Amino acid sequence: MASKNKFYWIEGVTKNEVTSSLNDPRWNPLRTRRVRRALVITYVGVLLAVTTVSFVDTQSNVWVSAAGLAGALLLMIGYLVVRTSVRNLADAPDELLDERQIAVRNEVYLHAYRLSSIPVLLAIAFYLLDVASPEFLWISMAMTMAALPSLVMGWNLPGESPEPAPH
Amino acid sequence: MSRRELADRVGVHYQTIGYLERGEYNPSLVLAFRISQVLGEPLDALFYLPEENK
Repeated sequence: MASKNKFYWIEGVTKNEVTSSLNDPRWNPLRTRRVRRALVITYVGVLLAVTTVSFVDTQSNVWVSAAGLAGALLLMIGYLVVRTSVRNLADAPDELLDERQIAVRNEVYLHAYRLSSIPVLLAIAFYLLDVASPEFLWISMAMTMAALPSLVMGWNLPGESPEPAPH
Repeated sequence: MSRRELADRVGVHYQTIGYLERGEYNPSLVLAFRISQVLGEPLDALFYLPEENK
């Protein structure tokens, strides 16, 4: 049985954090299918923009560099928002999920793993061909890999239905 | 019984009950039996296979 507020080292979350996000109604407006998909599209758009910055000579253009940093910050915020929209389901340990949630999470990881080879191979190719500056390239790859399960989940999950009022 | 009460009694999240009600999730046998027990209804009164088009 899970202890009071156990910390799950592999997932990097506490029991209270997961339980709270699974039941918290505050962010329900983020949990319709339309909003989730809009968040995913926005996140991917910013990701592509940050990746594009890596092809520009940022050392001679401070504004592009600043835009890249702003994009990186947006990605970090977007990562938290996308995770919140899927109730942190992609990062929750088995122990705290029911059978449906585990099945959804496992299926999402399968798709995310299959997709993960694309950004990794692209980043390696760009780096080896020396056509991109490494700083923004690694930022965008890191943020892609970190967010991928939540992005896949955000795209595929149906919208949540509100709990009907008790009779 | 509310969705949340049923969920608490069978040990799942209330959203899972919603997915079951809409037919968007097929429960495991264990979960199906638990729901049947809590609701006091036979299993085949609650869950059934859709008719296949021949």
